[in-house]
Amino acid sequence: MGMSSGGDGELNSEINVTPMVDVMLVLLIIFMITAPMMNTGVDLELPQVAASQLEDPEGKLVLSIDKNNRIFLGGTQVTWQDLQVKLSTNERLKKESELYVEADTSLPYGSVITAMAVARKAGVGKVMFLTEEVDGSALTTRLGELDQAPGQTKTK
Amino acid sequence: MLLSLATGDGTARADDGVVIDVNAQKKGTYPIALPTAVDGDTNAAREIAQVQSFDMSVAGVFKVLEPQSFLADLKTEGLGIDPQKWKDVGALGVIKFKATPTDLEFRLYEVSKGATPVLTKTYKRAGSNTRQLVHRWANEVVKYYTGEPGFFGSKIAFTVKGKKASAIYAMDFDGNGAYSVSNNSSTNILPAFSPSGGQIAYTSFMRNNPDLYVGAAGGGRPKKVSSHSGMNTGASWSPDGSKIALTLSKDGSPDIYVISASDGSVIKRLTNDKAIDTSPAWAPDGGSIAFVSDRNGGPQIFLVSASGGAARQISFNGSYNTTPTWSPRAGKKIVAYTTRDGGRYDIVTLDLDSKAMVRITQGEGNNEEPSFSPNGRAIAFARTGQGVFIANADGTGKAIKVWSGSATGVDWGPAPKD
Repeated sequence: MGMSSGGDGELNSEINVTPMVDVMLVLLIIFMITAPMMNTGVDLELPQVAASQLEDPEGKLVLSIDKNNRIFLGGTQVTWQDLQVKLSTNERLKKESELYVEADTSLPYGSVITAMAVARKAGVGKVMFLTEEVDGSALTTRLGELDQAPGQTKTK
Repeated sequence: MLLSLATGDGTARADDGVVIDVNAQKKGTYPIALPTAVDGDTNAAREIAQVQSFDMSVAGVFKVLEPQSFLADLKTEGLGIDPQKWKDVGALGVIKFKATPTDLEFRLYEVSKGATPVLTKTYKRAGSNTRQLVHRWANEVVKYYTGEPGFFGSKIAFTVKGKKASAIYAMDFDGNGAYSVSNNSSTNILPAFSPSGGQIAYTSFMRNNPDLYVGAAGGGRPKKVSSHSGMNTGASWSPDGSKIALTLSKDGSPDIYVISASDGSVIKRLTNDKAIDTSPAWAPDGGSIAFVSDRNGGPQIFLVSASGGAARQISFNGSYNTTPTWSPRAGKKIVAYTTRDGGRYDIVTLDLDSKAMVRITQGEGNNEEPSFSPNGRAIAFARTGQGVFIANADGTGKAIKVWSGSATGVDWGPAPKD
């Protein structure tokens, strides 16, 4: 109808951001964030890893997984089966397109990956992993512990 | 593939001057959560939730959030809210209600203002008035946010086409409670609500000539108002309800006349042209009348002063534009009409001051005979062979079907009186 076929039109000097936005939507972007102040009421122990500081730790939408594999969205327990619907219909996620994830440090890798897969299926574009604030020496200690007991998860 | 899709879409939109993506999510629509009530009269609660959700979704200002996304424990919350739970699902507003056999209480919360409701209403339930109570509440909510009255509880009149005859029907704007107004076995067309909403003017062939009748909006025997030989069609009331503009062909070619609404006597002949002049639409300020004429070739929309004088053409897109109607919005001069574009009929609006055109329908059937809601935020129209639809008057969102069947000649009545 009004589609311009090029050649006779004026030169368009504006940057076409549409492809960029599309690429952003396809990639699931993951960040690690330290959030000392975050309080969703879910009792869990976060991995201690140095990461960038979260600027506004309050008021983010957080997905929490505790050590018993129970999953919480905004501090409200949901079932794993409902998780995808809860995420895909969430208007806040559509607006902010950032999901903050905190998972207990003792959790199996598989649980966290499953949550990520569900989030991705639900259209979440960006996942931020929350860690506990730690200094460099503590990380060194932790690395030492892992070398001492390969294949073991840390228990507390 | 991804890139070509993306760039193709982006440039097509930028170059198309008047084309508005009717499916685009309107920026700035207000996300509102409408959880159902989990205690009290739960049968009524289901209907209340459904009526309220429909009203809010067609109000033109809200985005109704998916109940599946809700995180709050509705049982614990009752009529209150835990603001954080609603913030986490992206709600800016939340409405709670509770129905008992005698009362219906509503509470509106603004999530940013915490757990204290910003608007509370309790209505007395009596018999089957529950739907009307929800409409009244919905009007309060719209008024709270926009300062304007809502259109919930208003009525839409339309023509139902049968095989041999056609009847005038009226119904609630949401399609509920449709009933026959004309109640005869003849052909009845082109209904028009009086400004008070109490009467409907329509043309009927019950005496074998297309004569104009005025009857009670609730139905019953109508009064013959204009029965000149030839057409007495396309009635449009003056804003004060004392006069009716219509098409008469008594003097040859169809022209626009103004008659008395009470006795049908001709007050003024507005057009006198060899071409066909038809479909008058009285402007809300009373000063002018839009109509259709083919005097310059194909049918186009023209404007003439209600006191007579020269007419001027106001539609210039395409070669076929008909059935104009005015937006009742104060201080605006906006006309909606049917336009033919690429062999299909669609609804557009035209702002006579800014000349801005907005497309209301596109690529979905043939859409004809628009009519604005009493506050101008929505437009009702007929989709050929499918029924009566309503859509946002700013071109956003998707049209919603409120009545299924073979409908035409849609007219949206005035705001309901409380």
